[in-house]
Amino acid sequence: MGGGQTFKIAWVRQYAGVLPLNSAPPSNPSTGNTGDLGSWEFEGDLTDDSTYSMPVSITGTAFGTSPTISPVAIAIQDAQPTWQTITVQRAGEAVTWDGTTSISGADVDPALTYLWSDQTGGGGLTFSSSTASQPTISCASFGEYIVRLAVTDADAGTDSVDVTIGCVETDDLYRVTYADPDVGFLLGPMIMWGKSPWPYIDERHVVYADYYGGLAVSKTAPNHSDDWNTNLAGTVSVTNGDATVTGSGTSFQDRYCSGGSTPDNPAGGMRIVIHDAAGQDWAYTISSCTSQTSLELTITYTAATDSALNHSRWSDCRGCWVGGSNNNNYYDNVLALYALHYRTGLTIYRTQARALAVTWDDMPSINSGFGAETAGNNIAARQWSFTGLALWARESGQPNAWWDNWDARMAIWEASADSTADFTDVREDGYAFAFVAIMARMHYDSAERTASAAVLTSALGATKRFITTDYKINDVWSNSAFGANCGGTSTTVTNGSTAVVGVGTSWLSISNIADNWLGVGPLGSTERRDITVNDTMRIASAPSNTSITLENNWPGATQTTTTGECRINNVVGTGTQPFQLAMGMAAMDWADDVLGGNATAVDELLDAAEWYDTYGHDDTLRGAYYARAFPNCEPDPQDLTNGGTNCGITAGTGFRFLHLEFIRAVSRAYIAAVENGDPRAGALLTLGDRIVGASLDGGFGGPETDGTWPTELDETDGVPTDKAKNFGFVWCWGGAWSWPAARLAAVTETATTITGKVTISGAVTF
Amino acid sequence: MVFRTLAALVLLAAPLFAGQSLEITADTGTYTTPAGAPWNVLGARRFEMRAELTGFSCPATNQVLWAFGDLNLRCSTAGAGVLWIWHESSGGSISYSGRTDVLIRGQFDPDNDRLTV
Repeated sequence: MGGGQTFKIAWVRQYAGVLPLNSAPPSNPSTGNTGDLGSWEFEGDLTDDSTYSMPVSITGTAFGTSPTISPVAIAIQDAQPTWQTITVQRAGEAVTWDGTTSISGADVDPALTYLWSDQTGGGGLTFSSSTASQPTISCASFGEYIVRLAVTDADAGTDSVDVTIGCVETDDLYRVTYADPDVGFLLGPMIMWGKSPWPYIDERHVVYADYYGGLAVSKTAPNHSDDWNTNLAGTVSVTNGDATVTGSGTSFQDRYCSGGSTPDNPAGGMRIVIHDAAGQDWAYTISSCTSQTSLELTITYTAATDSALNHSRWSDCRGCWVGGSNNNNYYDNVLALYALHYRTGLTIYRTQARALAVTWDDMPSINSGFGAETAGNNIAARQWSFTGLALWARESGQPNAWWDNWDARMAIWEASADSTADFTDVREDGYAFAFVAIMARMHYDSAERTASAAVLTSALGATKRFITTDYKINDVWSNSAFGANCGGTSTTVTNGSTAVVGVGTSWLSISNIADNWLGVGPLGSTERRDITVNDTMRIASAPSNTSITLENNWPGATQTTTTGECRINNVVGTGTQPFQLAMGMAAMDWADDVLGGNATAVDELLDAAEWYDTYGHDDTLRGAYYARAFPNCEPDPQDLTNGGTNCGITAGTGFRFLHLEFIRAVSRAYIAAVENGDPRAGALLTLGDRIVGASLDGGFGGPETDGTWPTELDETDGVPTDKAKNFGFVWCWGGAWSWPAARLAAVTETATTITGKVTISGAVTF
Repeated sequence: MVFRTLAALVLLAAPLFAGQSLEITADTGTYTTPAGAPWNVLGARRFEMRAELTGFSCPATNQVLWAFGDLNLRCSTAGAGVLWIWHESSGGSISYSGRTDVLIRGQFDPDNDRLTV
């Protein structure tokens, strides 16, 4: 060894055999723990205490006082799986804890003494013994507690560890019970974290929440920043009805137009955000920067005339917040975070949910319900993620004014829900209908609640039936306006001809247009709804920007459509994307609840579930169809010559992924079936287990799993970095946590009120 | 043969005192592990060591600090503070970053072609 260095060896032992990976560190010297191949204790000599008696030979032997290593306190909940990174237990349940894996640091005697205590304050934890190595601990009620284990070893070394545990109130089957029934209304049946028969649901819920919830709190730029709140120098004056913004002390050209007149155009776009006196944030697209103190908007200012207002640039990642299918709260990550809070009792997930809700509520396109510059109409219902905001408003005690802010927006959704026309889009109309139901339940103003409930009653009382067991065009929940416009000013199709002629179109810019289909005619027309089911609409080629050649002659009438009456996409016309039934089914379930029972809503809910069971998925292929009932999907969505590549279930696990959005829906339907004695309950119980088993194995197993699952949720590095929407997709609207609770509905009901009325197929395990 | 280095050089916190230790210093001279040791001919085996290292840096590249047949504790590079649990065919390195009290386990499992630390 070099000068000034010492290498003090307290003992060395050798053993035949190895220990399992991740075993506890080497234990302390004690009787019976000597190495069987060699055991040098160095207690003043170099002897080998093993049966081999092979002393070490060393010159200049010196001995000194051994280092004493402090003990290590380790407290674990009994039988906690290694994948669990949080600790949760049911309120009132005496759960065994284990301190025996703690490590003594003593040189001779490995014994430890234990002292368990409640560091939470308030006396919410009860210990069967404060000094036992394996006591039972119970928590009193929902919330977060801190268990401390302190250990002392034979050399008086001490250590302690604090373990935060979440406490959840549940029934005997570990179904979460809610202190606030409105929270229960929004979240519905939910299994306590750690008790899912499909552990992957629980393991991934935490992984996703830790990642995206953490970003919601940190607001890490660029994707998660709220840069619209960073005011720039100077103030602005705006005039209602005028597109000119006048600055005072501003540097419009430098800040918005790179020193010139042309606005910057980062990915996702750039907006100027004007903060009005009422606290609203209005985002506008800039047309040009006239000077450092004057700029033009692309549309006229719609809020109140005012001056000396703050302004900011929204450009870090506007697309991370608005539109698309992958923004930070697209499928309502707020609710997904709240779901984990209520499943675990852990405060951190409420903190994260609140953080994201505050940012989302403030985000200019939401703008506390006012929406963006065009009177809130610029984003679709699916993009508001109102459910999580409603829970946040209730849970965090937002003032009445917050609810009032949404009244105008709600009026738009109510108009959509109460339309006399058929629902035209199961997703958009489903969201709108669902949001009306939420408002009918949760608005502080009874008059508003009554009005919203009246809309539900009116809509459900209309003689429109959305679903039957026949999947023909007019009998399905639909995604009717599905696809992109053909562009230009007009498109002409001619009966008996393959030639399609456009005016002002740019069809060469549509990628892979030959794989797409053409649909023409206004919504509801027979051209789009009842086109003969064959491949006549399939596009063979686009010879130019203004010409398309169909594979077969156009079978319908010769006609010239205008913009908006022509679609080119992978599916066209009217049909259903099965996973999108989830929104309409949520609407029916909530409406039934709000109205105190509504037979139509229940029928729709159950018919939709039956449709999914019959037509929406294939139990052999174990995936969901991407689309059904669109003309190019039928009669056989798996027919690759007729649209199977667009509609069918192809190899791989991606089509299992589509199941994930339907889990909450089948949960709703199954419970409704049980509660109403519907004979379809048995089939739905099977369906639920099958689709969850197909989609949420994750290597953990569970009922109806087969070792295959959509690896999109896995990520090779264990961090779901690429799709924020997957979090909400699976743990909010998908409600992965719901089925493990919902599937137990008959267990309870059979034991209480409707014994003999429910047919249960398949084993129920929990 | 595949070797993997997994988990734990366990670094634990600071000392109280009991018992005696062998001190190897710059003035101590050399040491020798016993000849004809049984571990040289055995398969799965492990060693465990409790030690304190003060101001440690490797005196010489690849110097063996303690030998157990072909399963050794040795230095990596002279002047560096890195210890290796070493199997003669390969080895896994452990970063030693200044903690002074350590528990070390090195084990070799020929059935699984695996060296762990």
